[in-house]
Amino acid sequence: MGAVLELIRKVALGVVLVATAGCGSPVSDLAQAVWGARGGEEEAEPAPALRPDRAAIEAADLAAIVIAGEQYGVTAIAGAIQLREDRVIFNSSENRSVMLDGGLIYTTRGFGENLQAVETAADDPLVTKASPADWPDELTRTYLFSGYGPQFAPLIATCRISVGSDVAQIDVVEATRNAVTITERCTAENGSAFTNQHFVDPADGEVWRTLQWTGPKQGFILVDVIEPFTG
Amino acid sequence: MVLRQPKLACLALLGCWPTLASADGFAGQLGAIDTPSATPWAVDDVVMGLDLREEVRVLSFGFQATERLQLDFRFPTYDNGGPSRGSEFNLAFRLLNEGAYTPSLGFGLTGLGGDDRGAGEYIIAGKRIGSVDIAAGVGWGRYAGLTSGRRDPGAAEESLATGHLFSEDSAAFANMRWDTPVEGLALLAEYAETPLGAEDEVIAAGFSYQLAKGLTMTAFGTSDEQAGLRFSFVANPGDGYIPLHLDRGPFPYVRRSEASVPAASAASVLAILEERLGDEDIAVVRFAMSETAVDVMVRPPANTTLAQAAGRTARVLSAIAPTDVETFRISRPGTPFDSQVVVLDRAGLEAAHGGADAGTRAWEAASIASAPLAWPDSLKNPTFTPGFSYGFATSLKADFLTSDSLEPTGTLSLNGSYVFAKGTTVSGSLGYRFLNQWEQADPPAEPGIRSDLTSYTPDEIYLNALSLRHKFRLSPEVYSRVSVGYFERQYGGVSAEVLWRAPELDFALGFEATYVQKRAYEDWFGFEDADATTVIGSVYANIGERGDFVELDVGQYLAGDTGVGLTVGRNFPNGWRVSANTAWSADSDDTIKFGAQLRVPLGWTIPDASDRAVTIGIGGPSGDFASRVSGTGTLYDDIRSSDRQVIKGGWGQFWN
Repeated sequence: MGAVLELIRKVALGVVLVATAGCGSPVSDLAQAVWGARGGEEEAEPAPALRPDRAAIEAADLAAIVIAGEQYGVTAIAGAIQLREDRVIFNSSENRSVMLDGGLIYTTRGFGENLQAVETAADDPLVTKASPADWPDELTRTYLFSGYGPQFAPLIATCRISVGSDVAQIDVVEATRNAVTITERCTAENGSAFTNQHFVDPADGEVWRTLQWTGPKQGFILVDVIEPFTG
Repeated sequence: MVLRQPKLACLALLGCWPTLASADGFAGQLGAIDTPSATPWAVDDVVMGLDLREEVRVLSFGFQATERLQLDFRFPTYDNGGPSRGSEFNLAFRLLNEGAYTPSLGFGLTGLGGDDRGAGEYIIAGKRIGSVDIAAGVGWGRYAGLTSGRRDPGAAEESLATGHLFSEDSAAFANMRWDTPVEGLALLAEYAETPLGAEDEVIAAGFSYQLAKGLTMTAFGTSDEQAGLRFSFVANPGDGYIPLHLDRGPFPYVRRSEASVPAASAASVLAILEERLGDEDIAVVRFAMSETAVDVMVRPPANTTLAQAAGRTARVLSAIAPTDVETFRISRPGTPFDSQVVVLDRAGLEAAHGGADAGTRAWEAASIASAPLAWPDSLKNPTFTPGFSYGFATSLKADFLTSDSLEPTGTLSLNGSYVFAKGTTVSGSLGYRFLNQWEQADPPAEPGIRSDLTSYTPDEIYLNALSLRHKFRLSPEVYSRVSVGYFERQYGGVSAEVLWRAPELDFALGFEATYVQKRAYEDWFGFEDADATTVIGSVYANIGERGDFVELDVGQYLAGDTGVGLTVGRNFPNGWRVSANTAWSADSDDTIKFGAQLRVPLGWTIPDASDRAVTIGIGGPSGDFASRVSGTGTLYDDIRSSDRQVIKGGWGQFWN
């Protein structure tokens, strides 16, 4: 309960930080760099530039992320506001939000045709931190979307995983992080295919940057972790 | 003269539809040229087709009802061999899905309700290899060149006969479709042993090209020197042109354990609720709070389901309603009737939020209740202001099937209404047919039922309707109406209706009694010396789990005949409706005719559109029998949007 109250306390501060954030920081450049790395794909419309105030966020000990939706060019800076079991909800001043299960984007709101949930194994290394060397060769996830009626419509995707051999230094919102690139090439049961990319800290498995498919219309969402949620 | 019904309007709207699939094949059936294909459309795809050939024109309306079942209505006109019988019904069913190494297997029936020229049956197997769809099968009837003789042409009792199915000679066919690397271009080829009366096998080839979003043109020629053009429009209700959920996200759902909410006053809860819902363009029009419940009536933006409005309201209330409040009751206003009430158990929502089954569990935490007959005085109450509204409407129709000239007809209407009280309206409509008016026929010696429409004055402004309606409820579950006036061009009189709907049931029962007199042929307000009484009972049922519905009308119709009207269709949560209808009369010798209707909300294609929709109808029952008076203002359309099953259908948007 104490952690929850502390989280709520931080929310208020986080909202202030986001609301006072200025313009001009190249979040869109960041997104473009990652999306461009996938190669051959159409460039997203440049997202509105946002400037996360890293110093203020760190001073407040606030868990915060940058979220960028590729399909519609929507970006947001979001602070952690709620825990749902072990998942953390990050919410922006316009209530654009994602729920993260570890590094897995579990739900989205306000970036298009929302993702309702993702079911995966408990030992999914995107959910439970794992060293890049320990990621499996393949895993299966079930994406859930709203359809007709109360029950969410499932889409099962199987992903083949390749782990990069090099450790690179990447800039994540003005912080330099060591990261190994992990690529998931996924095929859904309906025949569609997509590729996720994660930039994972080789030391502790922390996902600093992740680009994940979140639905057939909404497409990819990029998350940059400014400060991770640590409980 | 009976006016021909098969018409297609609003092509401009169709041109706006996005591309979802290509739809080729004879008269709406997906395939190569004349032979069917084994490849279904996407579920819920709606396909309209116009097939133009030297000897036949076919307008079609198809719908992929399930992954396996495809339905298709055709309205053919043959230049040779007698007139069209009006409408035909086709279905295709997939028995086995395609496997990695095995083909799909299915069968189809075409031309049901028509005559032998369009009737055929087939069994088909198909496989997709790379970008090529290949199909082969065996067919009977028209697929074997047998286009007459299996049934008695023109006999009503033969139109739905089944004894001829899969009978007599059969012939093999095969076809292929190659989706070329050129975007939107596909090449088609087919082989048929002896189709359509040919003495030898026929080879046909053609191409299809996507002209615009949703619009495909196909051109083809055959070895027996036939050629044709086909235009297809494809749309899917589930795949809107406008992206959803981009304006802003919903407020976070807050469990009571996560926030300490002080015992706020109702006024302060209302103030915060209005402010936060205002951010989402949701207006609070009624608000009441007791120790354990909050009652809110909200007016959400256009094209928002009641489920989504309830979800967004519940999210805000979760953060601001006092801890002791256990129930949220949410409804939306309507004219003349408010919606039913969505009753939400707060604890159930708290348990549901954030889970992979959050939608199902939220529905389990919900129940549906009737709106009270009279709302108690609340902290905030809706205000009613009498008002006048008016508008012009233009209708352009083209008879693609029975007219050689394809001349469109155009009608301009001026519609106005004044709402005295919430359920009391006087409305009128003036019309003028400004394009291709009919030649006025002499009035018949005895006024007809419907077939004397051309005896009405064609070349001047006419009073289409002028009537007073009063709609009210007798109890929370019983809706009623009385109407008096000129209901439509041909009839005026009085009408009364009652309709019963229980909130937790998936059907409603209605009863309408109407006495009318035939309106004068020459002037606005007079009557001819002919009257009629209709007494019709109706069942409106939501069936299944996909928004399917059935409406059954039974009773005495305008000609004094006993008849049955049947409408089946599917409601989509976003306001689309696809339906088909037919009618039968004990006194009619005509063949049974089918019609199809499509309702497309404007919000599906235009951002920030109102709740208005475009309705397109093709074919349908016509003539003097099984015909009822229109324009009386039947009740069910006023309340169907808050049927339990309709709310449930939209529940996928609750958390959005």
